[in-house]
Amino acid sequence: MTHFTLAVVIAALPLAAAAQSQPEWRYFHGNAASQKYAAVTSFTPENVGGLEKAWEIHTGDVSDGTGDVPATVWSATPIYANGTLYLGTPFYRILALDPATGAEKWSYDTESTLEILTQPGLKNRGVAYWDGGDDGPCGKRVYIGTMGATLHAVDADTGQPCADFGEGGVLDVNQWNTENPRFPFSLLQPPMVSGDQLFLGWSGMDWEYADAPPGNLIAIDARTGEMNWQLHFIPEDIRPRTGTANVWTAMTVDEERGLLFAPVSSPSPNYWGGNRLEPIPLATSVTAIHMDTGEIAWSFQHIYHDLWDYDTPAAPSLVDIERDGETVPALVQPTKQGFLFVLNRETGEPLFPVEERPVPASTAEGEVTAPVQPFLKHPPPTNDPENMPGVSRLADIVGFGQCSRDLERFEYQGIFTPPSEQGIFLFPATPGANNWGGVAIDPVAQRLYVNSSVLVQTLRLIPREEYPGSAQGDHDKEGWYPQLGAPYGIELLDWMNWAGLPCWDGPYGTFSSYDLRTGDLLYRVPFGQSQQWGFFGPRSWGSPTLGGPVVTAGGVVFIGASMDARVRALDAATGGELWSDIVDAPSVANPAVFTHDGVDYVVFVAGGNDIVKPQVADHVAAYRLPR
Amino acid sequence: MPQTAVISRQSSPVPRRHLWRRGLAVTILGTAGLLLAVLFFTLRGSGVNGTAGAALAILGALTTALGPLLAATLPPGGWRGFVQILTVLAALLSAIAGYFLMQSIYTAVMALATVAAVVLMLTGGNRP
Repeated sequence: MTHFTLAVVIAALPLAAAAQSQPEWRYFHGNAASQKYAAVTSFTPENVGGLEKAWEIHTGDVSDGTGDVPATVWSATPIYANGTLYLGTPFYRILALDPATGAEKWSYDTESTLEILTQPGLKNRGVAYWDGGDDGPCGKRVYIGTMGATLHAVDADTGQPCADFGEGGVLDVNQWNTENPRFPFSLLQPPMVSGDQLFLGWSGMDWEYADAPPGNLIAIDARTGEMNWQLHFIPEDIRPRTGTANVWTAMTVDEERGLLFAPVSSPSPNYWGGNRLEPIPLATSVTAIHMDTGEIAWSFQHIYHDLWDYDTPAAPSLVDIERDGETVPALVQPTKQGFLFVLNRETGEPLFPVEERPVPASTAEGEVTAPVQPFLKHPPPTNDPENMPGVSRLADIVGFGQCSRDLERFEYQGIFTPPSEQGIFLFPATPGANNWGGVAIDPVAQRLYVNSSVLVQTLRLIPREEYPGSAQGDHDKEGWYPQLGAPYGIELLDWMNWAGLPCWDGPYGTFSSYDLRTGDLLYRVPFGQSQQWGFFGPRSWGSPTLGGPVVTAGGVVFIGASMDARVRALDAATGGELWSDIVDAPSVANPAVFTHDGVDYVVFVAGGNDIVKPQVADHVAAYRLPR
Repeated sequence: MPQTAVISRQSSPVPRRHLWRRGLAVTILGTAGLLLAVLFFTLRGSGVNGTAGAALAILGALTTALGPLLAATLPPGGWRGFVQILTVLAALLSAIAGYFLMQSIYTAVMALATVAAVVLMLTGGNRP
């Protein structure tokens, strides 16, 4: 090695090695690459057991749904930027807090309607931050979306509305909801920010309509709110009779390449596709888009003709992978199926082989299933795609054999068993093996960390003539949803016995780590504890999870996510639990990790989600190492 | 020797005032368990506040605390024995509940109460 080469290597070492601090947590997933990685080295497996609570607050924005206000579902990740901690609440307020004490600097109330216009609860995943580099009012902004499809922009220092944005600081995003406008574009996920643009997806109503608003992605000017471009994901000629295939979760940006990566959901209706037999190549995909024009760079569809509501649930995470002496610009796309697709993010080509396998045909009226579906063997999926879990002996005994009898009632022919009038086991269930919490990536070690759920549901197509009423609200049958415009409604239920015990064997939740260079699974351990009526299940059972992890340069993973309302620190090397604390409800959000005034903090939002457990809260807890 | 002198001390019924004292340990432990259960039922941050399981823990501890007091008011015989068995069961099930509620102090207290209740039942002189 020459002296010059050696000098280059030495100079490069600080870039390869992690920085000592995390000066910002500016995005929902930490950085624009959605890595959920904090370059802090102070938290280590040796000392994180001594983590102490720095401060905690209760926002007051919470409802259990028993009064006039619908139940809240709070899944926000705090944003740390501008020396301030910014939060969005499920009552659609922005809170600006002192990161060291939790004291409120200012708050802004959108005065949004508190009605569940699209989702089963008042949901919010936080706010977005933009720094335009301008001096003066609104040179830095915080944005929050509402259930009613308005996007608000306020000054990041004062909370005052930015008058030049939309109408007096409020943009009506629903003005662009012009096709099948059955429900508003609920803005529950904060927009993605890059340059002077915001990228907006939206959330809609699941399982209600065959013809719904067709999925689109809107790019707007961060200062004025004017549309720069919009991209539709459904071909124009079939939009009148289908819909969704929208982007309801977070997005990712590769600023160097000018690419936006959009995780696109499934088209409507979710469980019958006779109205949309034409190919919709961008549905249930991860699609790379040129940010300046809205033109598609490439798209990778991971389910053809989706009949299982296996939305692409999470932003892909970017990582440069060392392979055969070369550095490959890659991304990892987690999916509800449990597959972790690793793609070249310049071309969309898989780095590990994807196999197209024949799958069963449908017997439903008017339905034609895709003959093949993509399968991924490596990296090993987080759920088994060919076999569902066995019957839980305990649940079967308590249920007097009900669970075993269900094996005769419902069919299962692997992950892509087509929905039928007889009924099927849906495994993975509609919340998926992996959901919007996504994966955390250590870009230095090239390791991936992911929490997964093991859930089984039963799904039955109900012929229209047997489906009473015209909408979900017209009946009192649990788990029934109308899919209006389709010849079938659906019955979708968790596979439980009469006592509320899951009929399938655990573990019900796991935490895994992978080597991204080889795709090898490094470990998989049960994660979290199930809880019912207050009673905890054994640790070996694990727990379903929502929300995801953050990994730090010091070798610690921080994660909430589990049913038992605990926030945890795990050893990144083994998945072993190093520390935990009880919060007021399941922390169904990714935490934020940042450095403020030389001190490293991890902040969890504990808001709850009844998919995990019917327990809600308005709790924000910040932790630090002892002084 | 007169007939009455044949009667041994061991088969004598325990006077109620003595039974009440013997049951004091169980009552005290049950009361301690009750206080702990009320705390974790009401305290935000206990991990089980407001849950049905925590409410059952309150009920179990209350039954354990009151059982010996009730037994002491009953004459020796079937009903007193029944209440003593009920007290043992209440304490035992409460300890098990405490374990699955992950309330270790409560579990330990109710486990001790179970032992005390068993001793009381066996030495409570319940034969008429």
